[in-house]
Amino acid sequence: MSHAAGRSDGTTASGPGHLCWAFAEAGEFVTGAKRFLVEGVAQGKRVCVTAPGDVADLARRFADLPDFDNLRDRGAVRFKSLDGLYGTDAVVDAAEQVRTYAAETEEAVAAGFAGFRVAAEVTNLVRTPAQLDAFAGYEHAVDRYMAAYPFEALCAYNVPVLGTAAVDKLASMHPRGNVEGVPFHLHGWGQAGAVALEGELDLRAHDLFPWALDRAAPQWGPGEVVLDARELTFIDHRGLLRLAEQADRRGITIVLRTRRFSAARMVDILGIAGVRVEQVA
Amino acid sequence: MSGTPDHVALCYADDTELLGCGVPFLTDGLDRGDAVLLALDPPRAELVLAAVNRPDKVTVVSTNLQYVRPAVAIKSYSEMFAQLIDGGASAVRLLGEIPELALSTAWDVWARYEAAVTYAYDRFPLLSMCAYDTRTTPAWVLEDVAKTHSLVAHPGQGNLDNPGYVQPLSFLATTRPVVPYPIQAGPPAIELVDPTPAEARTAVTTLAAASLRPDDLDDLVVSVSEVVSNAIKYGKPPVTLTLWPGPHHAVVTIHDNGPGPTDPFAGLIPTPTPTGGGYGLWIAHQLCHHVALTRTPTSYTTRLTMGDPHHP
Repeated sequence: MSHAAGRSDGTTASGPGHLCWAFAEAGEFVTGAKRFLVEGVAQGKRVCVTAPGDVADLARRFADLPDFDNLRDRGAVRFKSLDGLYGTDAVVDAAEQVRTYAAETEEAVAAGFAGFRVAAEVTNLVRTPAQLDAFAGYEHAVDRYMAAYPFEALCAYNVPVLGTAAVDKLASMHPRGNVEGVPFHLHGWGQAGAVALEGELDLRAHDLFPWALDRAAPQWGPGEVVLDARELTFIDHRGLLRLAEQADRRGITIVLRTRRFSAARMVDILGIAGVRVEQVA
Repeated sequence: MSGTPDHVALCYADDTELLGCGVPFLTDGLDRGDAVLLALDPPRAELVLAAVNRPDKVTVVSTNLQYVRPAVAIKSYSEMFAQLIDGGASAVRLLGEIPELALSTAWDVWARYEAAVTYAYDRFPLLSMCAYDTRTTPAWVLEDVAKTHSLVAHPGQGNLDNPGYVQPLSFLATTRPVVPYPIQAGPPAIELVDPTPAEARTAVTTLAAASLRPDDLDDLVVSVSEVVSNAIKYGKPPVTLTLWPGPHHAVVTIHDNGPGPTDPFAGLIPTPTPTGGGYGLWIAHQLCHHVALTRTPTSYTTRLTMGDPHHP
């Protein structure tokens, strides 16, 4: 079952501006990135393309953006090469990377832009399982930053290189994107450090959800963490037990906000202590 | 008392027999300082309490809440016993009676409960006496009662070994035929072959919405999803879901070609696995008003019922 809510063509119209962009050929990345950047420029934001390779080559591929020269001159469009940023097999330092983007966002705002928007081709940063684990944790950290500050990103991943399983994992850590059939999306929400969970948690998520939680939950807390699950259409008992496990392991209380009747009943039946269900309209 | 809890059948034909066995049983417990529980319907509970010396020491349990369904009874009694033991009681003594309606409409699951009692409560120092009124209890129920209790209460003689007792595993291995509801003779609203859990949920949500209260519908949807997931994971395809919505009730069967769970207590007691499973069928037993399991070596059906198809 696909989730229309999480689908995107590269534009964000409304809602979270953090997209997982799966592509098979370089041209598809450029196409998605252009739509994303044009929209950002129209909103008065500074935009940036980050990808492997030579910066001049990169800029040439985006040279047909409307009003390109003028945008470049006034610093509204920037290009950065990923080359040399990280060594081969190096894992991302999530906190450091978020700080970097936070600084760039502040700089853009200080320069009079409405915000900062990046299209990043980051396949090279998730090639090994260790890189993937670390980067997924970073995706959650930066997503929570985006939920509170005017920073947005389209994260592009090469499916033939990484495989669909890895890309599905990454897609589950983004609020939206162009990857179909991801059972759920776990992402930041609002300015108070809340987390949102959308989609549905059943058999299809039995392996993916524990993996995603292990990447995200270390960043939660202390104390109570609100998990906004109003757009979660179903959660089975395994999903609740996985949340309870995280709450127990990290000494936090997860406040699950849901529209469903059944979640509270199951928490009660299962005798789960670390998850409190709040039924909302 | 330690190890397997003692499980006594008290089959009484009148108040004198009920009191003749029940009162000494409770009094003995009070004398020993046990925690003493009484779960009879209100008129009988009053009768028994009036004949006990220290009625204030007896905890009265509501049968309506306690005996909603077997898996709920096990969970709720287990929590109660644990609390009493934690609170300092050295043993627990319980005189209870399954409500008449449950005997006539859901004895299949209650028979499984009676067979599972010694296992389900084996961590508690428990002596439980189950009362059955022979004037109103169906004969086939009394036959099972005679097989599922290790002791039988005799007025004036105490509790004697039951020669007709059948070991729980042997008793549970003999599957009793599940009688289809009349509604199952008619055409179903839908029959899905190899549905995903999501497709199963959608079908039930859509087609049973007019038959059930929203909370019951949600509970049925959760149960169906869990049972379909089990069938996909552990069963043998094809998995077939069939749904009959009726006035104020809905019946769903989920069938596959596997042998079903090997655990004889499946559904009555959760069997957690390291990967977080083992609760699905148990949750269905907690949430649905009735659950029936039918199995052969090559066919396994779970029937989930919400509402009462006998009294729509």
